[in-house]
Order: sequence, then structure tokens, then C-alpha cells
Amino acid sequence: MPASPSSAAALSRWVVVGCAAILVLAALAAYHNTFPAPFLFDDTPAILDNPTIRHLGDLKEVLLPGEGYGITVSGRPMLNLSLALCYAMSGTHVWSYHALNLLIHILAGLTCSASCGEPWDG
Amino acid sequence: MRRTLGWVGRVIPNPPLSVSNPSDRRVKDNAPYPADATLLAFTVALLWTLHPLQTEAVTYIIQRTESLMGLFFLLTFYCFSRAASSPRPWPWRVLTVLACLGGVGAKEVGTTAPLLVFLYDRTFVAGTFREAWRRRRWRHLSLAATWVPLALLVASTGWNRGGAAGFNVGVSPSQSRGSCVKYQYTLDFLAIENQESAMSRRVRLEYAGACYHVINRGNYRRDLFAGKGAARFNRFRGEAGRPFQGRYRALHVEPGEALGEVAHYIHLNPVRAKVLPVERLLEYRWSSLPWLVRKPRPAWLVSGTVLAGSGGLADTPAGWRSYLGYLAVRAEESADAREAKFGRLSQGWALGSADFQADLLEQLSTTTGRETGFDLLGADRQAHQQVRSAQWERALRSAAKALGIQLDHLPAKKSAAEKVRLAALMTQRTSVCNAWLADRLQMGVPGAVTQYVRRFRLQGETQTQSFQTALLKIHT
Repeated sequence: MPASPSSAAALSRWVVVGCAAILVLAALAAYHNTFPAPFLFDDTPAILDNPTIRHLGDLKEVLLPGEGYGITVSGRPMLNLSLALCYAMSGTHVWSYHALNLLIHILAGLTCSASCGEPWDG
Repeated sequence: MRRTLGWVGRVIPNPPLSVSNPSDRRVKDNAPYPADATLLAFTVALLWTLHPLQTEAVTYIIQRTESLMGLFFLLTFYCFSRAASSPRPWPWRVLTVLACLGGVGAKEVGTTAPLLVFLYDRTFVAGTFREAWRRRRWRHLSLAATWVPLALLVASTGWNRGGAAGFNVGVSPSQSRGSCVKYQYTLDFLAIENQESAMSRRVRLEYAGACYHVINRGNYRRDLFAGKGAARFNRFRGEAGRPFQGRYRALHVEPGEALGEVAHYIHLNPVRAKVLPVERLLEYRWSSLPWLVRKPRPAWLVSGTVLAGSGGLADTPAGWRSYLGYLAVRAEESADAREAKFGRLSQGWALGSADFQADLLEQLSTTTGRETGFDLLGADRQAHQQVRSAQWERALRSAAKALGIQLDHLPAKKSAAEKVRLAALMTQRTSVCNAWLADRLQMGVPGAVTQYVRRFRLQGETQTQSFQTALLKIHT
């Protein structure tokens, strides 16, 4: 059914870009109204009461939060690092935390989509 | 396992795609390349991205731990398959391991990625475990090697994920629906659009006669006081705006010895900053020191603390000469020695005796909001812990009162019923950590607290009328 190999390749590139755009827009539309949602439950010990995310420059502290500073983050350096990034952006305002959460989710969606089209040849 | 939905998308369209190695099982019935593989992949990914089950991971901020792990998990699969198909596989092989490491660094379930990659290889590519092992053993082993750093991370938490995960989670079947409940709450909170997040002004403890050590810092950490004004500084930099960086910080200082120490410290600022040598300190116009020495001095400038703090010197020219000599000695002192005696004078939040700090903490934990209160403490871990301990202690007293338990006359037994009731109430209503409870109530190791409380819950004790009533009465 394809007209010619080259036009099919060009078409499929546009299909990929279009699909990615739809996925990003759909996720933004679905979550656009969640940005003012406050900190709740475990957010309090892990973010508001967590002194180890306050200095992004102090990587040792950020990556090894130790025990007792927000039980959700201890032993999870990537999580604590991402929180420190948000703290550096907006302090204790929620917007950057929600923005990064959504970005992570969108990237995961795109990776999921990309993985599907990825062929194996051993 | 919600994230595993993600690679279902990988599994469905993949087998018929382009498995070209003749030793591969699927070659025999190699179906034609489906023209709509991209659309199928996209549909699966879109369904997964928008599925309501993800709401908690996206909207409840700290559940980022899930989605971050999920992203790295998917990246591990993606990079692994790129490494298999790319003519230059090495960068992809390295990225596979890095992605896997990122996953275990975000949440412990990332530990399953190496196993699932191996299983995937066996099922859809190699055909048998033996074949997968023979062809890609080093890649699988390098992924499995990420378990070592994971074990170290978990060990760093004392093998106790604070009751958040692990084998002794202490959750009854009725509570294992926790995720769904949180998800529900998240929606409720969205609906009422709490305005609290818009208010985050720093609150300071203020009282008559309070002393503060006020600290500010120039943009770029440049020295502002060496003779350049703000306007000139900005002209020089070609910028507009304030020369100071953000808001100032103010540390509480206890009158007396601690205040004297801060005064010496400030008098020596220009020496530490290498603006002037110690013998020329009196030439430094931006300090109170030259004004202290001369007479008459301004009425608001008080000399008693400084003189008393340097050994009870007299307010005479000879006394002030001695003070300068004292400063010269202090200038030689290493930062370590000073910190050992007085703590860090420009960090933390309160300078003074233990009683002074305890008093302030008491005020702090009762008079200001939680968020702003902790903001005031800055990055001082010890102070955070102290305030939290003070809050937990107050909650514990309230809990004891609500349950009719005498806190001062607890039985010695580690698993005493009174202790367990208190611990169960505290874990349900506060963010208290098991280590604190174990120490305060003398219940043995932190893990034991988890066990006792778990048993207590499983026996349905938390559902009794008296416990539920106490839950409502306690002030946190």
C-alpha cells in the first residue's frame, strides 16, 4: 500500500512527531489544573521539614540524606536531588514541584512510546 | 506494579518487528512489519500517560519517587534495546546501566529492572534463558551490579525504610488500600484548592529586647563594603537591582556571653575577609569598633557586653587597647576552635545556651505555622530535629492524656500495652519516626516499634471505640 519507500519514511517521521506532540498536549491538558495543589501527607516531612534539599551545591548532603529527614527520601538520592532542584527553583512554592512531576511523567510516556517502535536484532 | 503497564506497549508490537538473527525463536513465524506500529505504540503510550491510575504519582508531589523510578525503568529497556540494534552499542550499554542506577536511586522497586530485562530477552529475543545468558551475559550482569549500590543505600537507612517499604511494613489488609485512599484525597484537595501554598512569608520570632545577628550577602558573593556603593556596583556590572542577595537572615542571640562572642566575631570580619590586618582594625569605618573606643560614644552603643566578654576589661583607653590585643589573639584562633566552643556564628539559627535555645524552640513550635517555622531554621539539621522532637513530645503528652496513661510511670517492659497504644496513636497522627519513639518510650530498637504497632493493628485494637476517641482528642 505505501506509495514509495522515501515518501513513506518522510510520512512516518511526521507521524512520530505528531504523535509525540499529541501525547505532550494531552498530558498538559489532563494535569493543567493540578499546579496549585498543596503539599500533603508525606510531602511535609520529605520537603518542608527536609533540610537536606536546601543547598543544591552541597551534593553530599543532597545525595546522602541519611535517616530521619523525611522518611520518604532516605536512601533515594535521585528523589532527593530532584526535590533539591525544585527547592532551588521555587523554595516552598508548589509550582516547580508539580511542573517537574508532570515533566517526568511526560518523558516516561514518550520513552514508553519510543521503546515500542525500537526494533531488536540481537 | 502500575508502571509495568508501560512496557506492555513494548511487548505487543515488538516480536514481529525485525528479529533478524536466525537463531531467534520468532524468526519462523516472522510476521510482516505492521505498518501501524508507530500508531499502536503511540496509542499504548497515550493510554498509559492519561490513565487515572497515574494521578497519584503525578499530582501527589512526593510520589514522584514512583514516576521517576518508572522513567528510569523505561529508559533502561529503551537503552538496552538500542544497544542491541545500534552499530555503536557502547554508549547505549553505558546508558543502560546509568538508567538502571537512576531507577534504584529513585525507588527500591527499580531493583526489578535487571530481572525483567533478562526475562524480556529470554521471552522475546533469545528464546531460552540459556541463549540469553550466552549472548548477553555481561550486559545482564552489569545491570544486576546495580543491586550493590542499592544494598548500600538501603543499608544507609538502617535497613528500615521508615515503615514505607520492606518486609515489616506494619499495614493491615484494610490499610493496604492506602494508595487508592491517597489518590482519593488528592482529588479532594484539588477540589477545594487550598490557598495555603500562596502564603509563604518568613515569620520571625520577635519580642522586646531580642538580639539578632543579621547577615546579608552581596550578589555573586562579592564584598560590598570595600568602598563601592550599590549604584556604582550595578553600573560596573551593567545591571540594575539590589546589591543584596534575597532577604537577610537573622539569627537569635542570647544576651551575655553569646552576644559578646558575636560582637568579637563581627569586629574581626574585615580581618577574615582580608580587607585589613588586625592591627589596623580601628581604621575600618563600617564597624562599631572605632566608635566604641572613642569618647563620647553614641548613646545607643553599649560597651558592657563586649568588655565583659573579653575578660572583664575596663571602659578606659587602656581597657580598649587590651581589647584590641584580645582581638589579635582571637584572629589567630582557628575556625575549628571557635566552632567547638560556640558553634557556627553565621549559620544555624540561634546562638546561646541550651536553655535559651529550648525556650525559643518552645515559642517557635507553638507560635508560628509549621512551614514558616521550619523556614526560619534554615538548613540547621540539629535545630530541625530539636523542633520536631519538641513537637512530638507535645503530641506524646497529649496522646498520653487522651489515653489516660501516666507518662512518668510507664512499665519497664519494652512491649508494655501502654507503650504500644501510645506508639500506635503517634504513628497514626504524627510524622514521628520509630527511632524517636523507641528511644523516648524505651521500646528497644526502632524495628521493634514497627512490629508491636503492626501486631496491635492486626488485632483490631486501633478500631476500638476508646482508641478512635483518643485519636480525635490528641493535639499535634
